[in-house]
Amino acid sequence: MIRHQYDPVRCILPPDVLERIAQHGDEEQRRRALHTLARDNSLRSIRAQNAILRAQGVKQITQETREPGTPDRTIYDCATSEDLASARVARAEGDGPTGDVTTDEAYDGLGATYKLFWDIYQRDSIDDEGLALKGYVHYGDNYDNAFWDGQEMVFGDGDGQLFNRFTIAVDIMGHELAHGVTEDEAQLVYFRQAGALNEHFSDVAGSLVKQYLLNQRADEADWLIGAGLIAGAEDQALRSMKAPGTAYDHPLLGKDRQPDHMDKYVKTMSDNGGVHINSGIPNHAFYLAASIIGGYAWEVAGRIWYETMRDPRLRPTAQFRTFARITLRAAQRLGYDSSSDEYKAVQEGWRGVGLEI
Amino acid sequence: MSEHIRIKLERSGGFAGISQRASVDTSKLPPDEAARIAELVRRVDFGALAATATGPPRAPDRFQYDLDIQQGGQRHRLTFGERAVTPELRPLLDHLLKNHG
Repeated sequence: MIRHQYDPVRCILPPDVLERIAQHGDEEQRRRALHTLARDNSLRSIRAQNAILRAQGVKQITQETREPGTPDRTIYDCATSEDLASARVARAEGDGPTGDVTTDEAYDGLGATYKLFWDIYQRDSIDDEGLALKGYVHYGDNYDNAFWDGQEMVFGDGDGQLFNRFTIAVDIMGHELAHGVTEDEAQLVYFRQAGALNEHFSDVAGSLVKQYLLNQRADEADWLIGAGLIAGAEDQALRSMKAPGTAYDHPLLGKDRQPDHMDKYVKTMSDNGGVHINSGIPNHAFYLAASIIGGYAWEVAGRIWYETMRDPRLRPTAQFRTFARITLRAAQRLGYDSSSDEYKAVQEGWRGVGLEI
Repeated sequence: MSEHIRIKLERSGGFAGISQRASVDTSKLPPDEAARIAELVRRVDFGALAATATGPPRAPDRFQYDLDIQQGGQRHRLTFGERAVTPELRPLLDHLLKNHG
C-alpha cells in the first residue's frame, strides 16, 4: 500500500503521487485518484487519468488535437465579481479586439508570452502541451492585484488611486503565466529563498516577454517590472532588475525595498518570507549576466535560466546558491564550457550580487 | 460599555509586494467609530479563523494578512492568505486598511 498526503486546502494530488498510484496503487486507490482527477480537466490531469485508465484496461480520454505553435486563449470578464465561475467569455482565441482595454491587453499579453516561450524555447504553453490560457479580467471591486491560481491568471482593475489596471504592462501577464511554468517544471515553494526564486523567474519571463515584443537588446531594455502601474506616477515601476531598490518612491506606497546584494537580504515573515523583496538579488544577477553577454537577453542568458528551471536537480526548496550553481551547469549543458565568455558572464552576474560560485 | 479593542493589521505580498499597515485602539477613537469597529469585530469568529489561518499562504502573488487583535482578555495573532478571508471578515479588513492605515 502506498501512503500519500493530500493537500488539505486544494485537494489535488501532486503529479508524482498520481503517477505512483497509476503504477503501483491497488484498485481502490486508483479508483479514488480517478474520482479526484475527474474534477480537474487540465491536460496534466488527463495524462494522469489516462495512466490510471490504462492500468485498468479502460478506454482512454482523448483531447482534441491541435497544432502546437499557436496559443489557445480565452479572456473572461468577471464584471467586478470574485466568483470566477460567474465570469463571461469576453474574447476567445481568434476573436478581434473588443474595445475593452483590459480584455484586449490580457489577450495580447498572453499571446506575447506564449510567443516568447514557443519561438525561443519551443515550449508549447504553460505545460508544454498546449494548455489553454485563461485570463480573468475586471476581477473584484477596485482590486489592487493580479495572480496565478494554479489554473488561470486573474487581473484586477486597481483602485485608480494607488494602482491602475493590472494588465497595463505586458510583463505582468508574462510574470503570471510564468508562475504556471514554474509550477509545471521546478515547483519552487513560494516561501523564503525558494519563493524568491519563483518570483525571480516570473520577473525574468515578464521582462523577456517585453524585450522580445519590443525587439530590445539587453542594453536597450529598461529592465522594469510593472512600469505604469502606480496611479499618478506612471513613470515609476514596481521593480527594477537593473537597479533594485530604485523602482518607486511614493508618498503612500513608500520606497522600493528590494536588495541588490546578499548583504542586504531581508529577513521577514511578511510576503511569504519576502519573496517579492529578495527576488531583487537574483533579478540583478540575471541583468548583470545578460548585460555582460550582450545582444538579446532571451537568447543566451534567458536560455540558460530556462534550462535551469527544467533541471531535475533544481529542488522545490532550492536556495539562491544552489540555483546559481545550476545556472552554471545549464550553461555547460548548452555548450558554454567553463572557459567561455558566457559561462564567465553568469559567474560574474552572481558575483555581482555577492554569490561566489 | 464594551471592552476596548486593539488591532494591528498588515497586508503584504500581492504582485506589487508592498506592505500596507493599519492599527486601531478603540479607546482612542470617537465613539461611533469605536462602535463601528466593535460591530465589525463581533461578526468574525476568530476561533474558526484560527483553524484556517495556517500561516503565509504560499500562493503566487496573493496577499498575506497578519492580524493581531486583542479584546478583553483574549488575543489572536493570525497569519492567513486571501482565500481564508470570509465574507464576515472582509469588511473588517477593508475598513481598517482604508481608514486606519
